Amino acid sequence: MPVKKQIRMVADLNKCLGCHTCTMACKTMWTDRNKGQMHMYWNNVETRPGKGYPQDWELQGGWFNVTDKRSIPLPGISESYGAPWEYNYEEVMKSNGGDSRASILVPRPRPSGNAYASNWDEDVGGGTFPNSYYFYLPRICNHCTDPPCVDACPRQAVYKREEDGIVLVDQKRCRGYRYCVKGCPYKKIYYNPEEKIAQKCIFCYPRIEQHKGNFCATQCVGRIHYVGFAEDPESAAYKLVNKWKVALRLHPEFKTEPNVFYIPPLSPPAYTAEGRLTEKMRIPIELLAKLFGDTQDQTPDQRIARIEEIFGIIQAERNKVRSGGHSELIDILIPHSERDRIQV
Amino acid sequence: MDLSNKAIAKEPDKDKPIEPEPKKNAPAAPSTETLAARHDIARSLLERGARAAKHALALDLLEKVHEPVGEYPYRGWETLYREQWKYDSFGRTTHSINCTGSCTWKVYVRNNIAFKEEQYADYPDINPALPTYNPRGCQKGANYKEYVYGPQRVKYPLIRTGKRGEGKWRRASWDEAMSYIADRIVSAISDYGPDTVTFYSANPAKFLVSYAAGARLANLIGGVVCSFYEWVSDLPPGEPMTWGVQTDSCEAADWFNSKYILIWGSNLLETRIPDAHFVTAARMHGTKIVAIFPEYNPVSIHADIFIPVKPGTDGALALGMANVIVNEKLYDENYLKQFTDLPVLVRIDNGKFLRESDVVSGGETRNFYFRDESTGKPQLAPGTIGCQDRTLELGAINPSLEGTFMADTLTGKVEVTTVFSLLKKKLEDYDPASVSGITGVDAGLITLIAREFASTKPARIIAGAGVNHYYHNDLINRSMILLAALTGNVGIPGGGFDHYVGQEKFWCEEGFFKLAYPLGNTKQRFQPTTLWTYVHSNIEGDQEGRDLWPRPIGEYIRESVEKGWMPLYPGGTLDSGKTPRVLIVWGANYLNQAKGAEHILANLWPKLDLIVDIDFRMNTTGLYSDVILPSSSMFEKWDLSTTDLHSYITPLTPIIPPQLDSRTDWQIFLHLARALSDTKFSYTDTLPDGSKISRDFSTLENDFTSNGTLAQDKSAGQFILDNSVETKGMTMDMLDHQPGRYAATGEGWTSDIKKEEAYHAFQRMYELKLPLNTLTGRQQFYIDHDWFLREFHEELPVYKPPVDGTKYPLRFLTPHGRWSIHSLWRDAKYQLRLQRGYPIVYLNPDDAAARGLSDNDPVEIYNDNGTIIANLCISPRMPQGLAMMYQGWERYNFKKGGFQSPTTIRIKPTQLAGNYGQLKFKVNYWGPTGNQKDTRVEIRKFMEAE
Amino acid sequence: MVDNDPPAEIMAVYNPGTIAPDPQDPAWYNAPETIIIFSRRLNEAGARTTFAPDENRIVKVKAVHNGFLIFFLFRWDAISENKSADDYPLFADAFAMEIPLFTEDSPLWMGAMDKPVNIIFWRADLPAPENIVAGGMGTPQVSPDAASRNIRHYQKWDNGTWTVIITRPMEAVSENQVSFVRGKRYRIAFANWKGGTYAERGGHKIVSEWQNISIR
Repeated sequence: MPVKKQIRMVADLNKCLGCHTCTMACKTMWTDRNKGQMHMYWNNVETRPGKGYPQDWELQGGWFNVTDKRSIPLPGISESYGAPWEYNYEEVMKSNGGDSRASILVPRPRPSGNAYASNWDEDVGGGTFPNSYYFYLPRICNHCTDPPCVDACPRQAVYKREEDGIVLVDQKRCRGYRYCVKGCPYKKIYYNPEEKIAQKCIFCYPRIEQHKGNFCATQCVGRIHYVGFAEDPESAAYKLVNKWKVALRLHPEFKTEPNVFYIPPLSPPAYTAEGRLTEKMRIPIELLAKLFGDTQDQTPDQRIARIEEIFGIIQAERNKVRSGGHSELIDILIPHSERDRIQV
Repeated sequence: MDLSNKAIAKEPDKDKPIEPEPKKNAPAAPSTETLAARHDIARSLLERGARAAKHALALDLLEKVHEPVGEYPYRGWETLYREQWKYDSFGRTTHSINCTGSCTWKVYVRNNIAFKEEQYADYPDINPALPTYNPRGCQKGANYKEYVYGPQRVKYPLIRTGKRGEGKWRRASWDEAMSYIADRIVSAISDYGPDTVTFYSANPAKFLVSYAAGARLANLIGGVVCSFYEWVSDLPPGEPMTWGVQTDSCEAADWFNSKYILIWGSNLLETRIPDAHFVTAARMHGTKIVAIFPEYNPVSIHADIFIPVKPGTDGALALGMANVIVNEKLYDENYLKQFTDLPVLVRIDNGKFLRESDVVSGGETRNFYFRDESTGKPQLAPGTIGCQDRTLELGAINPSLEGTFMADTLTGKVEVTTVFSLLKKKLEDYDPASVSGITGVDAGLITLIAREFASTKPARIIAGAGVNHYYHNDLINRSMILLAALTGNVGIPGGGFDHYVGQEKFWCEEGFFKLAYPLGNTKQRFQPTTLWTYVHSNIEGDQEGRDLWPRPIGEYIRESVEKGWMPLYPGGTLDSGKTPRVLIVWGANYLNQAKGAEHILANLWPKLDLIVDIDFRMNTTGLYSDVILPSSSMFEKWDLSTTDLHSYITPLTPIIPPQLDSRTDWQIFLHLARALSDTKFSYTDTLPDGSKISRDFSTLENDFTSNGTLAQDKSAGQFILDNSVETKGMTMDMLDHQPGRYAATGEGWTSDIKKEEAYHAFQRMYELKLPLNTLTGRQQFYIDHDWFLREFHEELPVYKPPVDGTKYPLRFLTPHGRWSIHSLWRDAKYQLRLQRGYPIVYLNPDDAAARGLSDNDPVEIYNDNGTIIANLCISPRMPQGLAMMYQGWERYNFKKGGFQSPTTIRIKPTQLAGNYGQLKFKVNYWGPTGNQKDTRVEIRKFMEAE
Repeated sequence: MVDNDPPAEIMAVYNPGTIAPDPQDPAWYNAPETIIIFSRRLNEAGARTTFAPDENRIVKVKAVHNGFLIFFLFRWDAISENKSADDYPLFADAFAMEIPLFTEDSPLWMGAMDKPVNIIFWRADLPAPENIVAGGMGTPQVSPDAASRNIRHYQKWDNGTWTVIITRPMEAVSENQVSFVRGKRYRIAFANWKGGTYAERGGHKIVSEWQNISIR
């Protein structure tokens, strides 16, 4: 049965600062309670190109986009999510006084060998200097219209709320089988090895119920997030997705119909080998088209065309405003206050 | 106190700083009433022999879920997260750290534990057409609670029992620690003099009351207060030189008013996280963003053009653009005539300005001439320092901008020309092709951005540490300011040269100074810290440094000190070898952040009889000190914070009581004043200006509290509000309710604050035609100081390359990053887990390959000054020849060294100059910068000895 | 396949006095050992294949009681000990016994809505076995009443063999438990999960047929 209302979020990647305030806003509210949550970032920000979090999540597959569900791996904490290091504070700081060896603050387990962490690739990027390129991609659960995690759970302990479409794992009924982790091609369901159950982004439903935005959106210093209901044509999120059509889904070919959308990132033009400035944006459009699209059945060329179209719209509206004109799109992209971004 | 002790004691599991309610094992079930009812029904059914399974207690869970999308039946558990988001109360504070954020935060409290931080987001709007400051903050501010309850926190006073840095401590009572310190201060004063007692803190803006606490005690006992702004090389020397201001930059909202922005060596997206949205918003608004950096970075990714410039050649690039603007006559001629020294006449025979005293018997030495276009005669320029009339109005004068003329002087006819003509000639060296050779930037591109910058008004340069932490930062600044002035952008909304790194002047200065220096600024010994550290750490200019100037650096220092241009404490240091004896550091991490750290540890540290560190957390300075005093966290005190990035005063308020045995800085220095009072010590102090003060410590406690009226932190804060033009009429409680926008500006500012307008600099000059505090009263690009003219040839902006020679192949840059504010958060695990967990150095893939290095390899970064061991991060965003490590790591983050180990202190003599108009020592206004980007290193794989 | 084999008859012998949850306790000497063959496999969607199509497992079962407490002792061969579920790919060894809660004819696969089952579930990583009630596939639920947390256990893996003892008061403490009454006979079935990486959990397991247990 379809839900009555569906929450949606749009992230404008042209304004993302890569500051991780969203990550920390989420972490400090929901996942700093016990050891089993330390490796979890219901909201994370990853540098693209990069291996992401968990490592190479896009290659792992999900319920609707692999033929053999059995082949979907379960990522390990240390090598894929990143070990939540502990530090030898007492040994080093002696802030209680006392007598101990001077020593060095070291993460344990020490990240060596095939070390990884949720943000290991930060600012590494791709290309060759000076045509290096990268951008930031903040990610939460997509609260998909067709959620594969719901399908994957043999106990049906994962569900989608009828009033807002938020996807939740029933914390009482979950038995920790981790089929939902396999099922989600975005790897946005986590396993708590202390509580032995699955946990995930709850879209801050206790706040949505109070008509307040989710913390990753309201605390975003870059003001990149727009939150609203898919059914509300007055919401900024609706206008960006449905009216101006400048926001795309991440990996729609995963066939889950995500409800988080992204405005794809412009980038400064590349240089020729002789150091002359070109007009071609430095992030290869093919790379963006691998990530972003509208629907599951679009061809790569259609996706490229759509991204080019979006860039064209944004640049045209920028120019319009620059020469004194008015643009509804630009008004939305420059939100004055939280009310302009969040309508829940 | 008990309550708060419990709050911390309750935290054996470090991952549970907060645990407001039990979780899984006591799930939020249906209410007991419902349960009991169900139970009864189940029982009666069972008793009747009914076997219908659904009626047994657990079995009402046994409903098959038919459709988990939209029709899930078991939603009672959802109270779990609703419970997690419940709180008892909330309060307002900010984080008084050296970040210029000054962001107002809401802290939620449950069971007396501050468990969640969220931006308050209630700064009043300036203008509905501008983006707001809400929400203002960053990922570090979002988790300050980690420090409030973390193991890094200093829990009670500690006195060293082992060797310095050995880490052996004993717990002391506050009384014992205070008399320990007081006795040693009194000994130092009576044995060696008050100028051997030195106070260092980072910056008043971040915590006006806390800073004033230490400064006030120093002022009352005769101690030395160290500068910070030029020491950390955040002072843009070009601003005092050109504008006669310490720094004046617009608030962030004015960025939105720009149509063209060169973001030049200012990594706003990492280092001004709360403000960066004004740039990304401006871009969406049609503003063209040009990012100029040596490496591809977070600002560059959101730019319309990224210009990779060879590190340290920014001055050349600016002069190349100036060359285009001058040659193509793209400059704003009328503006230059009125607001700059470019039409001022200069004698060709000696390079000096033509002065009134040259021309008229008994004439002012600080009055200067234009050549009037209409009469062909020299005319005194209005608004110069020597001029009575304080205006830049030209009246009927139409100054010639270019040409060579003859002028009558008391000693006969001399040939004169204009500064503009000299500049134009100087700029001939900087044609785009030559500049392309220096900077690596395509000549056509230099021309393009010069034309665009000159033809798009308002245009702005946003500059920062990336161009300011070089040895020749003064030349780089002056060259960039020249661009802004040539195009007539200085003084208009959306335009100008705006510099952001560190904090200098601050709002409410007047009230602060009254609180911090009750005997008056003039009765305070202020010390330029670069000079102090350099001399007392026995640093010698390295070989390349000495070759730069005609004379050895020591001679310039001696001349500057002897002529009274720069103070150096203790008095007589250069002759008698006198040294400082006591160092008190609060709210700062002097040792960790100091350039030339290895020299300081080796040479300065042994000279000090007592080192006191006051902090809420154990930092490197603390580990190497003698006494550590635990200060309150930012959730536990009243204080005030300001920033030049916005125009609101932001309070700190006590949301929870001081934890453990900590106290506020104000109370700590008050306690120290009491301990000093108890010594009954008194002495007669002769200040450097010859005046004498009789200092009687027995009244010190009363003097500190102003007879009890300032005994509380909150009343000290109120004192600042009451005595500042910005905040008159505001109260601490009003600010707790909502931060207010300033009503007016004090003396440190060059513009009025206007309703509905974002603050921008030099409005008083541009709109009101008020002269600047420079010798010529206008933006001054020509400095005819003898040193500049004769020894350094820097009377006009020129390009000089970085001074670090070629012995080591890789330039070593240590910029500010997003994950720390200096050393703060370098030890915070929630932040570290979002990095690689330990210090890394970025290197280009080819540079790494040439050294046989792989990603994450442990490497040694070394030069003649020192060695660091860190881990490698290979990224194509780095150009070849550049090694970059975001700064601030504590010494204890490294297996060897500190991030400043490869650096030294290089003093640029021009920055010791004095007795010249705007070039005179004032604390944090003028003095030698402690720059560090002229550093080269080599990197090799580190092999573990075992 | 042994589908048509008659159910085994497990005997819970009476042994008055204290019995320790320990395989060395003398009470076990008099208890007959019953060999149960697990042959019903369920391969859950998305689970990696962990058992061969014709794989059977053998578990040796003993039961004793002292009139107040009942003890079950299970031994089975296990090449490795898997007692961690501390990482995403890791699953712990587990074992369960299932008894119809109200009706004798509960379906083997977790009962049914009107024919629920009571399950005692042991997993090597858990602090205590769980008392579960289920009414069909996907419905098993740890019973929420605190009283039913009355199950203690012993576990040891040694040299290729798991030994697990489960003990509980014979009398049910709530509607969520079966009472074991002397002289009565109950249907009972068992399930086994082999832990490890990408291993068995949930419905992905090997199960025995219904057997019988008589309380002496």
